Amino acid sequence: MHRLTLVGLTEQKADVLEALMRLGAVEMDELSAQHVALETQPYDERGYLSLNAISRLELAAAYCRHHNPASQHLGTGARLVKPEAFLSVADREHAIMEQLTAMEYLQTQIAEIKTLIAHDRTLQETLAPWRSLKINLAEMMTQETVILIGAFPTAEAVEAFKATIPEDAPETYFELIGADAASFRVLIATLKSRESVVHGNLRQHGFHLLPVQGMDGTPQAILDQIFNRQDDYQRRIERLETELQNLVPMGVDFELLHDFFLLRSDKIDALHHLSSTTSTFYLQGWVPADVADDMGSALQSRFVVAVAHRQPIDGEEPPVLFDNHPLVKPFEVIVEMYAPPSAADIDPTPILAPFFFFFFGMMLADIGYGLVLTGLMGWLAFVKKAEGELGRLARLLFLSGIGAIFFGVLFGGFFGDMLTVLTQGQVVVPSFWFNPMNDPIKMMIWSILFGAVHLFTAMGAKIYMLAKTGHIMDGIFDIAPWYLIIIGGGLLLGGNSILPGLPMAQIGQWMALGGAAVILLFGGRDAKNPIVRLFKGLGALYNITGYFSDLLSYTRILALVLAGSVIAMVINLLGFMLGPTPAGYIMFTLVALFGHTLNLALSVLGAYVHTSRLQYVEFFSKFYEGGGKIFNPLKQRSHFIKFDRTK
Amino acid sequence: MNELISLLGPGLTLLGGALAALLPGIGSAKGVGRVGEVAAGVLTENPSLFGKILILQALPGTQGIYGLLSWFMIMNSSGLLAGSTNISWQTGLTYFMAALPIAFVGMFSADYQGRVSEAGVALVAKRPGEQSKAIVMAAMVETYAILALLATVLSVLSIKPV
Repeated sequence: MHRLTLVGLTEQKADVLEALMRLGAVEMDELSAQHVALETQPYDERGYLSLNAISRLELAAAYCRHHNPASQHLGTGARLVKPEAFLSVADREHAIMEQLTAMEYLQTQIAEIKTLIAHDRTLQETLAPWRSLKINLAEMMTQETVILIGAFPTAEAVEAFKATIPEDAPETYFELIGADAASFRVLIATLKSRESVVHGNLRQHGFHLLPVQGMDGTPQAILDQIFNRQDDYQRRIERLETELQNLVPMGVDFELLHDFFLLRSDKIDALHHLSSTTSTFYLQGWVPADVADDMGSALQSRFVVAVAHRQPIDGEEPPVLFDNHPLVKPFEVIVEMYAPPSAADIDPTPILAPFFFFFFGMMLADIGYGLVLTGLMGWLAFVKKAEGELGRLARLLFLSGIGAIFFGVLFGGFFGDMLTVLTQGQVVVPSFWFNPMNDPIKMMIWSILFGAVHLFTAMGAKIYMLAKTGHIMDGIFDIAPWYLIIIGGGLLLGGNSILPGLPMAQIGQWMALGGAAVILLFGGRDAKNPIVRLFKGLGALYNITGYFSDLLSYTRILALVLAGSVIAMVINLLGFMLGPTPAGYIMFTLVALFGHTLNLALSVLGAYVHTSRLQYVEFFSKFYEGGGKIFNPLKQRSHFIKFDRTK
Repeated sequence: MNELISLLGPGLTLLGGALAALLPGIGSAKGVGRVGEVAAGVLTENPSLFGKILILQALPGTQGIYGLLSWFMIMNSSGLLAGSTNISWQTGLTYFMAALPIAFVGMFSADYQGRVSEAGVALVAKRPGEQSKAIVMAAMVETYAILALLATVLSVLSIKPV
């Protein structure tokens, strides 16, 4: 990254910015808040706040795409559009906005009618039990009396209320109109002078007044009205929906205008990030070093600008841009999720990628699962051309699935032991290396050995980084001895069984002791006092527990291999319980489809999570800090469309 | 008396297998359940986070699977799954002991992992970009379930039925 400074003429400001957006190679500095005044809200010349217009257009365009058979195949992907067609949309801006308003009006009307229908439905449910009541709900009182209708929750409540009548309001008339499990509907007529006493008693016994009293007509009449207007509502909705459907082809225009507004609003936004005088403007930012010169001359050939760029100086934090081989690129996601590299870091992606591939493959390790995962993700990434987060994840899992196929071949797993079960032991998928189910201890040792390689690589990266910054002595005294200790310890434990006849265990012992001596003597080399220095060295040696637990952590590879393949075996076993009969095969298909889908999903999640963990906790902790910022250049952002620059 | 002793072997084996499937299952149900409660609340505000949160909810579920796996290994290796009940009480006791690590560590770690995932859901609700960090923090707890699973599985595989 190079630090870029650009000075130009104010009258060309907008054009220079547009050129920069098209190049997409410059990240502008954020201006401090005081520079961005409040009145710079991006209103467009017609006065609508274009941010508001953007979100309205986005909703409408998404609706149209969803309801237009010709556009549905696009999903949320981009539509290819010729630049001329895109620019022509500006001339029709007003007409399109009018169509948008028309469409929104139709949608609002439909929503209103739907609210009315929902309201009617509630009313229907409330009134249906009262159908037999022959009283106009609006005429619930006379000069002297009042009628109350409603429901009690239980029969006991009804009786308890009735018991209060003789004493509190003997003039009360009581009638049970109907009853079902949870409501006892009653009509009560009483004197107005007694109303408050009766009300109090009713409340005490859980009485609920019918909420729609006061509506005109008997329940039956109201229900009939509702029934009659149902069809009318339905017809109106249908008519409005036809009109709406006629507007759906407008969706393409909505998409174009949406992206047009988006570009313009970004541009206005960027303009406000520039400091300018009456005749000049000034821009600072970052540009990738390899394109800096080309960009400068491209701008100078078209505009009156002065462009300068230089290496970042100490204290500046340039943004980072990954530059990796296409095979390694998908693994950048993993690094970015942890934290993008800072200026002081090296990009860990190239050394992380093979390990991620390897460990993920080992954990999933099944030809069948690998094929399904790779196929599915390949389809998502290359046929559906998924973009954004999903696309990056799909490409990562596509590669990782290949790793699973590779280890599936080595370990001999195809949907667990599906073929063996189906052929009753006649076909056994051969393992080109060994089957971890038969020899888990061997698998555990290999897990730890691969883990050691992983750790050694991380330590090597740290030594490299120290050497680059001139601290090579730290690398030699603090990190290199651990190679001796770990390798020596390994030989001490198992060296004799690898190369019998040679005193491997003794060699290992001396290696480990030698490494430990270096740590002990030099771990505290910045201390002057020899005793303090020795104690500091002892402290550094205590790190052995850290390395030990790091190595043991890799046994999770074995656990995940076992979990995945044993569950697959259980599924096959359960599925084939009926044996090799037609019914048995049908049952097997069903059980296997369901079971293996579930196991695949869980195993992929497990492999992904635990592989990431090994990278983050065991690998990165040795050398990588992160904390940088991803390069985010000024560019032409588009949501619905992509420019088709072919002639 | 001899008859009772002959029942003790298969009984202890079954008890071990049952505990291995039972306790981590309870723990996972608890963990997944508590994450689900919080997740549903977050989804009322922002339904688009469903995919990210579902993964967090699934994390404490693995202990239940490890438990089932251990049950299967015990049943298979002891011959109970094939219908044989010819297990000495000493062998039965070793199977029982072998089941203990995953039974207890599985149960408790699922619960604690559920708590971390629950906090992770709250993190994702505020900062959806930090999902991977929430996942890794929850996965730290699972390490101990994995170690316990290894202890159980390696023990079971090293038992030579008598």
